[in-house]
Amino acid sequence: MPPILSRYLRPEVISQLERIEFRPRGLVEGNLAGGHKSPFHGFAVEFAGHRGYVPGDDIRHIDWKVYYKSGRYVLKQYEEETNLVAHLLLDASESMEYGSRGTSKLECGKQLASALAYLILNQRDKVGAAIFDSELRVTLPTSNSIAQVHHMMTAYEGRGPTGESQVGRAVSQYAAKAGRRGIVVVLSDFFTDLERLFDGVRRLKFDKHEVVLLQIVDDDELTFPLRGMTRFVGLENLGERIIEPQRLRDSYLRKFNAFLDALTAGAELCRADYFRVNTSLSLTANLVGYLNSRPTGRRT
Amino acid sequence: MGFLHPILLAGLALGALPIIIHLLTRRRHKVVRWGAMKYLLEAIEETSKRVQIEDLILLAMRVLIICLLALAVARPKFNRQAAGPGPRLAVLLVDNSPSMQADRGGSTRWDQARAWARSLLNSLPAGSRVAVLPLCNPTDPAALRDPTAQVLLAADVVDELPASALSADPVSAIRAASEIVGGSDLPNRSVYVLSDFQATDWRDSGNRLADAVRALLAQQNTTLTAVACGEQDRTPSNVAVTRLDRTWRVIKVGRDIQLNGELQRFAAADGDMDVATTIQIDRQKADARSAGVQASEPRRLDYYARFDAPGDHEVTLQSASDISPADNVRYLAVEAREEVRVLIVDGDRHLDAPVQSESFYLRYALAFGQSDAVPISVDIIDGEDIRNARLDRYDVVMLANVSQVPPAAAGELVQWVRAGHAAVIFLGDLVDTQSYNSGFLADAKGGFLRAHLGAPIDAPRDRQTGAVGLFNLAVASFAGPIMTFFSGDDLADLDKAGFSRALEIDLAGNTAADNVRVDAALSNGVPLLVTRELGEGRFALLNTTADVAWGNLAINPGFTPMMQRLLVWLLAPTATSTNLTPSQTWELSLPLETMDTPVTLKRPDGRTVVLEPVVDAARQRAVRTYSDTTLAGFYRVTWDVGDQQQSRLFSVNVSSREGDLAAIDAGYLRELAGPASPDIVWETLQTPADRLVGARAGGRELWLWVLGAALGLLVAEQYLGRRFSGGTR
Repeated sequence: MPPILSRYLRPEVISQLERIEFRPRGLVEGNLAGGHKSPFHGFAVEFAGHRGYVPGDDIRHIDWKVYYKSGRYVLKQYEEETNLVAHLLLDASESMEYGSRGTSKLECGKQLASALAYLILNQRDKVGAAIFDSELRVTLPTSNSIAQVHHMMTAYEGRGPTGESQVGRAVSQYAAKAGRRGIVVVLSDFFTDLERLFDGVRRLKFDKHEVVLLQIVDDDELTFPLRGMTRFVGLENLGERIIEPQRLRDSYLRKFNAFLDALTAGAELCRADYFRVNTSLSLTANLVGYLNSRPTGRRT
Repeated sequence: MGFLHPILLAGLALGALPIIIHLLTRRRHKVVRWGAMKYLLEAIEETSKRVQIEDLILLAMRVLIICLLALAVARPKFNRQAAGPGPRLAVLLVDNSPSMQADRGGSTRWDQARAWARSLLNSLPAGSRVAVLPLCNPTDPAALRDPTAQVLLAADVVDELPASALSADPVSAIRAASEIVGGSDLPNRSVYVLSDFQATDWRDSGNRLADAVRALLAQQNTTLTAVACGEQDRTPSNVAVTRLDRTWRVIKVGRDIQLNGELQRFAAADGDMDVATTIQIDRQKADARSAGVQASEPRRLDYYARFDAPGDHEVTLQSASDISPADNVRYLAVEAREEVRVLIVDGDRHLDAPVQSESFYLRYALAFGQSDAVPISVDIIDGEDIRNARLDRYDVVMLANVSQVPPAAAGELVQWVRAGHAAVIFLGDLVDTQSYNSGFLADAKGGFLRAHLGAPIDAPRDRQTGAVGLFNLAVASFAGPIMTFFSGDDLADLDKAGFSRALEIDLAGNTAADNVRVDAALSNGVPLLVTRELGEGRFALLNTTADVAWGNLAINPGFTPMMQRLLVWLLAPTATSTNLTPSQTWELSLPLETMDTPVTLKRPDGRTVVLEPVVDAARQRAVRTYSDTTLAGFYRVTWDVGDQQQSRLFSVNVSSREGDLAAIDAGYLRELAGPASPDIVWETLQTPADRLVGARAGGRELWLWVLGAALGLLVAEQYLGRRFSGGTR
């Protein structure tokens, strides 16, 4: 395995991913016959029903057995199985720099995106990717080649946390070029303007995309255990303060939990999936946790 | 308000320390690049004012804590009269009474008080002056009355203060302290009283003590610190031997005689307590008794002992050991003799016709039917020989119709009686009443009693026969232990005794306090027998002759028993001159020829003292006295006469009230002081002496309070700090 791959895809993760399947919550549009339900009813493999013949229909799809029995011209209809298209949007803004256990949120996001991409590509589905901060910085077209993982990692490589996070804007920009319906997974801490975020989400939903918001947070941000006189340097140009963090822990946690509640509620309103990734847990644990939270049955 | 160490107030500058630390802490911090800064800023916005106020509160508390600690180290004290730190006068009144020998947790109150006093002396600031007085006897030579700056010398005086048999004399001691304070130019004066504050000594002093305390505290910048050395919360149970004497004054060698002891139990609770007692004669066990003693009443015990040799003997009654050993023993000096020795001074002696002598009848009356227990030997001398009489060889002197006694001999005879002997005077025609009236009977203090002998009164003759008339004894007038013996059928014909003559006797000059009693009177109301307990001795005056010149009493059947009853009464014991109370002066009167004879006295503590003689011109005697009788025990005086060694023994006993260990409390003392009560500090031996050094200097030290406040603030600061930090501190 090339070094770049081993950095983001560790063998133990891969071995776990071999046993997991990533399925969309609803219908997906793909350009290849695949393992997922397509919204397009056509003339492929799996019979879906009949409809009456209208002039102009291809007579190759007339169900002659019905004609022999009933004398009516009806056309056979089939459900088309198509491949999944997943879009993995990774936030690389400055706020993703924080990491209390040696791994920043950005690093965690990169590993997570890579693992998801591998999982999806391994299912012969397509994966597209993007990196953004205040706007889209890198966009990788969709591909079902396993090399797509390598392309993603190459794009991630050297992409440090910079700039202000404007997830909504980036999502809106990506929605304009996402193409046919698929799954859009946004990996970010979402320390951004939530209104604009959900505007972007609604735009994706309008385009029939399934939206998944994977919030990457550090355990320190959730519990704020810091003590002693500390100078907090705000990432994304938010200034700095010298404080004793234990003195305002309660207030901070109240504010932060209110933000999490707002994010969860907004996601629910937009019918977007929301899952919180804690960087203190292992990548496998986070990934398995997320995948297990998704429904496994096929929808009709 | 003042400070003992004002220079240490510089420590207040340390109050800036928390501010400096606060600023330094803000400079020394860790750096965190924080992603969720938006929410942190919102939290800061929300809490900044509260945090600032909390910071200020905590900072102020920390500054205050350090300032209070600096104050405490500077030893602040509250002064009523602006007394400042520096040298001061300390007057120590140390209770050396017997009750201070009581046990207190393994050592005596006395030892602990002295140790505390030494500790106090070591704590005094440089330049202070110290006086040390024993509470029992502030004029004791061992006292340090002139204040000294030499603390070591004062400590030595404290160490060498003698334990005394005297009871505490708080009035004299405080007056003495007041004089010392008044003579001092030091601005701050403190009087420390180290005592068990026995109620019997302190409460009974009453108004005199109140006056003394108020006079002391009226002096500027003066405090009185009472350091209680006894148990303050309870009165310990204590058994004391309160009395030891004997039934007969003269004790015969080789006969069992009765000794009387008395125990008293001082306790708050009632109930019997078995107490074992032992009586020793010359340090040899003679008898032992065990008896239950109730708290409410004294218990009298009788012992029997025998003295095998004539001379002085040491009798000791000892009770079982208890909390206060000083009152568990009582001493009695007794003289055992072969016989009672009576000297008859016959003023009308007829050697050729003894029956005409006064002494003839007296001698037989005394010798008749005498008990073997009390044999009587009689010596007879002429009236003129009284000036050369060796009174120390006799127990009783009887003057019968002696015309006059030289003043010196008369004075010595009175003193001899007062010292514990007995005298009887029979009147008669030879008596020079002027001499008697101006001598023996001149006054109640210097003589036997105040009496005026008037003209003779003769019984009226029978008008028809011309026979000599007689007065009779008025039986109804009989009084006292001598004459009340004769009553009813036991008159022994005394009612038939006739008296042809008697002298007028005017006793009006005596008061009730003089203890003069008419034991019998004639039918015409003239006193026949007048008695008086005089000092340690007894005296009797008979208004008749010892022969038949003035009546037939001498040949009346009742004369013999009357004389024997008189002798019994004369020999009955009183508190004798050989058994003293502490500080009572003991006197040895010897002939002038002994002026050059060394007389030495051996004290109970083993020390030997040479007694120097003083000539008593009036009595023509060489008198030696000893007043330092402040130790309980036996004192033996010895001197040589020719080849023979003479000796006298006397004892000193503590007051029977020393056994009562009940104490007064601070309230009583403050009540005595009245408006000056704030200047009284009441402490115990548990209080470290050095802590009182500030309090005695005209105020009360406050460092402990300040330290307490600092600690309280520290606790509050910790609590608030934890609370402000959300419990994560």
